[in-house]
Order: sequence, then structure tokens, then C-alpha cells
Amino acid sequence: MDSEALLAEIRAAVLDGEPSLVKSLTEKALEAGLPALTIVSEGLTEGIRRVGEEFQKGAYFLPDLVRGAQSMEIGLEVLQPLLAGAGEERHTHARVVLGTVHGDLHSIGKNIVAAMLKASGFAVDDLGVNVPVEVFVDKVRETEAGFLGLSALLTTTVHQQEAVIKALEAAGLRSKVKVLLGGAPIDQDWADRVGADGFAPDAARAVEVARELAGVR
Amino acid sequence: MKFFEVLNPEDLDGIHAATMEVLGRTGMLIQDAGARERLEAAGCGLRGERITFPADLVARAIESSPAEFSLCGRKPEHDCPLVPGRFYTVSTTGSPFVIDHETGERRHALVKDVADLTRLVDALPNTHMASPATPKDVEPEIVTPVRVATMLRNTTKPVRVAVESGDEVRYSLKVAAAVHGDMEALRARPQVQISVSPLSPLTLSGDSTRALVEAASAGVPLGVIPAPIVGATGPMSLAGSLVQQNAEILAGLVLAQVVNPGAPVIYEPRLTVMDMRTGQSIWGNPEIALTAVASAQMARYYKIPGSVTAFGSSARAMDDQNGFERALTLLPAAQSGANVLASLGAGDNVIHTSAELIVLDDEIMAWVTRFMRGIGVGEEAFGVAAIHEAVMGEGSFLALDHTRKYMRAGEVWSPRLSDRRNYSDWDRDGRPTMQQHARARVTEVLATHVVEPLTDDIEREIDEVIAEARADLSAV
Repeated sequence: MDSEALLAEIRAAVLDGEPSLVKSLTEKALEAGLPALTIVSEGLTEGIRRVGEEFQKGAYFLPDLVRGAQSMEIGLEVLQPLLAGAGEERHTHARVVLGTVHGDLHSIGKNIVAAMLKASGFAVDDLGVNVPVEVFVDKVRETEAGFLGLSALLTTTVHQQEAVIKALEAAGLRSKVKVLLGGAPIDQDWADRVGADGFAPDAARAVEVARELAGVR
Repeated sequence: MKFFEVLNPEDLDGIHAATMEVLGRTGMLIQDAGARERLEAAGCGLRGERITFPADLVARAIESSPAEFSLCGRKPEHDCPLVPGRFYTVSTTGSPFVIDHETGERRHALVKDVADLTRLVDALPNTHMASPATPKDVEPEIVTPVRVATMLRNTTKPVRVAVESGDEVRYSLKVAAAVHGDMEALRARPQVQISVSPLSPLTLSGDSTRALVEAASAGVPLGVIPAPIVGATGPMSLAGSLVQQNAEILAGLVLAQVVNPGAPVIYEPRLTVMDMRTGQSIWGNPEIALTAVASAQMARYYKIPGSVTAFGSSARAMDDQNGFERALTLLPAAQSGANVLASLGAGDNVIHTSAELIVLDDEIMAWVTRFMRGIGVGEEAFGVAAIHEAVMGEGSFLALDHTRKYMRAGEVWSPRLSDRRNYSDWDRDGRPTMQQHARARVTEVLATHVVEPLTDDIEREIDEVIAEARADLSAV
């Protein structure tokens, strides 16, 4: 199979959301001698861009998006050591650190936001749930992420969002990272009050806000 | 009247069998070592933090859960005996926002809203229990004891609160015990129901576990309230999510019975579906009504009281969507045989509540209550004599004794809010909408309704408990 046909198959497998197929095709492409960065940009990234397009058109739904993102990620996992070894990095709009705040174990909203951000060309570090303040701060420092997303569902844990923002200030990192808030009890008023850069009432809007703040298109 | 059912008896057996498989194989993540030890000692299996449940232990726990008990008012006239065939409504819990009665704008809920909305529940005839919004103007650590205190000051009806930790339960019950004299008196006439939510799929957080153990030990009515979102935190098949929530409830029930055999437990699921475009969890959809009915059937299958979502709507405004979504969820739920019809007054998928919605739901509930009374039959009801008398006499039924007797007995329902005047009167009054009628009623009730006050001694004692909770729990 020629290179272009292989890349087309990878794109199609990401679009169909078939992680194991993406994995084997990615390995096959490497064996065929395709450069890792080409597989990323013309295979995986292009595939996930089309997933996003289908979602925008209304033909795809959240499960399609999540499967698409998973498929891309499994391909990236295969390629990551080679990219790093060659000192190359795939192009992303920005790096986003994401997590559900301390005391809160609700993950689903954050997971959807993570999948949508990945599908929209952001690199995402998902810290999971029940994340202590200092873990957010350390991760932002370590990754030099441009964005930090803080999720809270419980009315009793939303104050943790404020605590993280204060800790970023204390660590001298606040000006380097844009903080976005999400969760059912959150509104613009709360985001303003605690000094966040943005708030999103749902996952689709979270991506729009991130794109606006990142200056994408 | 027969209960409305959506599952056959063999389907219920199927759900139960599948649930036993889930509990026996996948098990429940229980993030509290003490509770895990107690469950293990009772015969459960342990894999890491996951607890598996043998079928015979589950069966014994179901057996020891009482089939009937009462949620009590401050006085017996407001008692709600949870017995087959009786049903009650409870206002929605946990909404972070309210629609302001004065401005019509959405804003964060405050303690004053909990007071006003509870007082409204106290006044309304078809709303039987109060549950609170989550106010923003109080420290999060003590928000639940404060909500319980605020509700008990503003109603003599039973109250219900969803809790997040054992500390919240302890101080909430301490507040309630102050109202009733002591813990023993509260247990005898429980005016407070505690609801604890497992985290779907199949998790009980450490805090929730301790809350459940605390409530079960106290012996007050305990609702186990999982809220799987179909396709996201529960299987996409409705039957699958029914199985999962059943496993989550039974796991909580077993823990409650291990801690305190005979502890009163309510089967209280809040399954929702996900909007696969936005990720929103949706409370007003046909599947909400279907699974509410199925859940009521499962509660009956286990012979424990059931509480189901009944007033679901995604609408933000009091518009047509709001009206049809809540009415179409409520009627099947009421017919299902569930003892408690929940989420009264909730809008925007339980993100907000409002005084107007509570008044509207009380009105819809009046309609449904009449419907549920059914059609009375018998010699007099068949009306053979009345028909003969009318036809042979004036030709109309208006002046008959039979007519006045049945009219006064409520054979035909009369609305309180619905506008049924002639067109010209309605037009002359500025064409008022249902929302305006509801609003007027809210204004009237809040201006006039007085709740029987607590004694000064009890008031002081409540203040002391809240102060103690603040000193003990509050971070600042």
C-alpha cells in the first residue's frame, strides 16, 4: 500500500472512531517508513479535524467525538517516543490542564470537555477528579500550559475554584495561564467574582471560549 | 385504580438477576475502610476497594428493610405514611439557582430563598414535603445544617435534604432533635429524611459512605439516590441503567441494614438522559417518565417505599415546553405507585427552582390527584334515578340533589390558577398568562401565610447547634 493510501486509512479509522485499527495502521505506516510527524499531521490530526467537522454539522454526537479523540490518542502514543526523540512536536493550539476540584468526584462533564478540546486541536493534560489545589499549580508550572480548566459540580466545592486561582497568584503563575471554569452551579457572575478568565455552560461553549482566548481563527 | 406499569413481572425478575450479577462480579467501589470492613464481616467480598455482594446477603437486607414507615410532620396532621397506594410530593433539592420572584431574573439561591420556598410549601395543599435549594450565602461546610434549620423553622411538614458528608448528617439531625426534644423523639417521629447519592457508575465516595452510615445508625428515613446519566455514567440502554441504579441502591441498602437492621430505606433513583450534542443531563424526556415508572415497579418488587422523578423539565421559561414536559412526566409517575413524586418546582434540568414553579406544580398536582381518585361507581353513581328524575322533570340536572351532592364531594375538579373566564374578561384584564397567575398567588401566599413558630427555647437551641457546627466544620 502506498503512503497516501495508508494516511487515508488512518484518517478514516479516526473518523470512524476505531482505536485498535488506528493503532495497527499507525504501526504499519511507521514500518512503511513514513515520518512520524507526517503520520500525525496528515493522518491523526486531519482525521480528528474531520470528526470535529462532522460534530459541527450535527452528523456526529458526543460518543462519536470521544471515540475519535481516543483513536487519535492511541496513535499519538505510538508516535510520541519518536517525535520526542527527533525533537519534534505536533502542532496544537495550546496546552490545557484540566481537572475536577478537590472534594468533587464528578468526572463526566470534564471528560466531555477534554474530548472536545482534543478534537479541536488542543493538547490536554487531564488530572482526573478530586484534584488538590497544589497539583493544579504544579502541573501548570511544569507544562507551561496556556489554559487551566477547573470543573466543579457540587455547590459545596465551587469555592475550590477560587482557592486554585489564589494559589496561582501566590505562585506567580496567574498571568501566564488562562483559567476557565465549568460545572452546573457556575455562571459568568461567579467566574467574574473569583477572577477567572472565562466560563462555559457546556462543553461546546468551552471549546469556543478556549479558541477565542487562544486567538484561533 | 390499577398501577400503571411498563415492565412485565418477568422483566423485573430479569433486572433483579442482572443486578445480582453486577453486584457479585463488578461490585461497588466503597471509599471508606470502616464500611468495607463491616461489609466484609457481613459476608461481602473485597477486591481492592471494590466490594462484591453475595445474593443471600442482599436478599436478607431487602427482607429487613421496612416495607412501610412514615415521614412525619411537626404534628401528625402532616404525616406522610409511605404505604402502598399513597403518594406525596416533595419540592426539588440542590438547585444552585432560583428565579427571583421580584425581578424574574435567575440568580444564586440564598438562605432567604430556602425560607420563602419552604414557607410556600407549608401553605400549599398538594405539596407535602419540603426540600431545599443550595444557598450561596453560607459557608459550604455548614450549608446543610443551615438548610435543615431554615426548613424546620418555615414548615411543619416533613423535610428532606440530600447530603454530602457524615458531619452534615450529624449536625442536621442535631438541629432536628432540638426541634423534637431529643434524638429519641426525632426517631419516633422523623421529620427529616436524609438522601445520600452514590456516584454512578457503582461508587460510594468516602464522604457519602460516612453520611449513609450516620443516617442509617440514627434510624431516620434514608433515601439512596443514584443519578446515572444514560450513555455517560450509566449504560445507553434504559434497562441497563435501571440495572445499574438498582445495584447502586441495593448496595446502599445492604450497608444501611448491616449498620442498623431495620433502618428505613427509600428507593430513590434520579436517572437522567444525556443530550448527546451538549452533554447536558436532561430531566424532561420520555425516558424519564418510562424509567420513573419502572423504578416504582422495582421498589414495589422489593417491598420498600419508592420515590421517583415526577416534575421534570428542561425549560428555562414558564412556557409551553415547561408545561408539557412536566405534565407528561408527572402523570405516569403518579400512576406508577411510587410513594413520593419528586422534583416539584424544578426547572432547567433542576439547575433552578422558583416560587412560581412550585405554585404551578401544586396546581398540576391538584389535577393529577383528582385523576388518581378515579371514577366512583355504585347504584347512586350510575345515576339511574337521577336520569329518570331529570328527564321526566325539568330536563336538566342542575337543580337535582344528586348534582349538588356530587359537586360538593368534588366529582369535578376546579382549578385555582387556570384562567377559564370568557374571552372579553380575560382580554380586559390584560390577557394574563399562567405565569402571571402563578406570580400573583406567590405574592399572596408569601404576604399572608404564617408558619406556626417554634418556641424561643428551641430557636436558641438551633442557633447553638449551628454555632457549634460552624466552629467544628467551617474552614475559616
